[in-house]
Amino acid sequence: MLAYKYESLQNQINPHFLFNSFNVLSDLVYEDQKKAVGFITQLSQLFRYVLDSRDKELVPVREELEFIRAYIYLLKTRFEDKLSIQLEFVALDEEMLVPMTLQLLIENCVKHNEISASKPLRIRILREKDYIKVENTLQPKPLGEESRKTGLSNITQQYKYFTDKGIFITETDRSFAVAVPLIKSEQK
Amino acid sequence: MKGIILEDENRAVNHLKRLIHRVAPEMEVLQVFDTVRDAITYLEREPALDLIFSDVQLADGISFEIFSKVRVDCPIIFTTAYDTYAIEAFNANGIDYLLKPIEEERLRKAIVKARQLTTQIDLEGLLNMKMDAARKPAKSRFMVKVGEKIRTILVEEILAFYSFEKTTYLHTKAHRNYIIDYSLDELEGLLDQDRFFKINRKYIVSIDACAQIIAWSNNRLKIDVEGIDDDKIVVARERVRDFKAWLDS
Repeated sequence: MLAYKYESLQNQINPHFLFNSFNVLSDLVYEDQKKAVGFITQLSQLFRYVLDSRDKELVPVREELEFIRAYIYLLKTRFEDKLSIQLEFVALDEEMLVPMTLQLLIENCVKHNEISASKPLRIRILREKDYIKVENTLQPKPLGEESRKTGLSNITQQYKYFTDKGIFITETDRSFAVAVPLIKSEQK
Repeated sequence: MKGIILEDENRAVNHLKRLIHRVAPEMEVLQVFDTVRDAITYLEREPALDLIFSDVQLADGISFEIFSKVRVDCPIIFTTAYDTYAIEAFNANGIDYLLKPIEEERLRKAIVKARQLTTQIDLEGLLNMKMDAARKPAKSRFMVKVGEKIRTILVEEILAFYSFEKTTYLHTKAHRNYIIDYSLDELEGLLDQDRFFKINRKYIVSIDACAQIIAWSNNRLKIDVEGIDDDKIVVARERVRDFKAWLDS
C-alpha cells in the first residue's frame, strides 16, 4: 500500500520529456559535439537517479538538488533564453524530501506556462524557513488548470505520511509558488 | 517552395531546418513562430505558402487552435514528441504526422506527398477554369482508416469504387480495399469526371482500370479490374454510349 503510493511520483517523468530530449540531441550531434556529450551525460545522470530513488521513501535534499541540476541543464539546453531557472537553495545535511518532488514542481511550471521568446518563463528555487519553495512567473497556457491540481494533490498526499506541515500554494496575478516542508532526518 | 515552421524549441527548429535543407534544398523557410498567437497573426495576412511544418505543442497552446481559427489552404506536416493527436491532425489539413526525433527518410516522404498534392491542386485548378468555372474542384485524395492509423490515398492510386452490402470501398492499384464514408452517388459528384465513370449501380471505375474491356451479352461491356474477382463489373446497357464517349475523350 505504502509502496504503491510512492510509485506515483516516480512515474512523473513524462515521455514528452524523453522524446523532446532525443530530438534536441539530434541537433546537438551536428551542431556541437561537446555539448551533445554533456547532454547525454546529464540525461544518463537523470535517469540513474530516477531508477535509484525508486525504492526510497525519502532522499537527502542535497541529492535531489544534484539531480535537479541535471534536469535544469537539460531544460536549459532545450529552451535556451526562453527559460531561466535560479537555484538559490542551500541544503542542510539532515534535510530530506520525497524523491522527485522538485522535478515534479519544475515540470508543472514548464507544462502549464507559456515559454516563448516574447514571454520567457522564470523559475526560482529558494528557502523559506524550513520549506523549499518553487516559484514561477505566472503566464498560464489555456487549459492547464486540471492537471496542475492533480500533480499537486499527489504531492500533498505523499507528504501527509511524513509530516503534519502542509504544502503551501501561493498564487498572485503575476506569480505562482508551491512551498514543500523539509523533513528532518530524525523524523524519518 | 515556400514554407513556415511552427515550433517552440530552437534546437528542434535547427534540426528540422537542417533536415529540410538536405531532403528538399529548394524549400525556403520564410518564418518560424513559437506561439499560437503569432502564427495566427501571420496567417491572417494570407501569405502565399506551399507548406507548413507544425509542432502540436506550442508555447501558448496546441497548434490545432490555429487551424480552427484561420483558413489555411496549403498542406500541413505535423510533428510531435509523443502524442496521439493523429486524427485531429488530419482534420486540420494535415497530410502527415512525424514523430520526434524526426527521421530524414520520413521527412522526405512527407515533403514528396505535399508536393504531389500541390501540383495536383494546380492542375485541377487550371482544368476547372477552362472547362467549367462553377464546378467544384474534384477530390484529389481520400482518408482511410487502417487499424488505428489514418492513410491518405491519392486518386491516382485508385482503380475503382464499389458498393458491397451497403458499404462503399475503394480499390487501389496495389489491390487493396478500404472502406470509405461516401455512397457511390455522392462520389459521382465529387470525383473528376474525366478520370472516373459510374458504369452501374455498384461500380465507379477509373480510366486506368479500363485496359481490358470485353464485349458482353446484350450489347453490354465487361471490364476486368485488376485485383477484383467479380463478373458483374459490367457497363449498364443504357450507359454504354456515354461510357464509350468518355473513353474516347
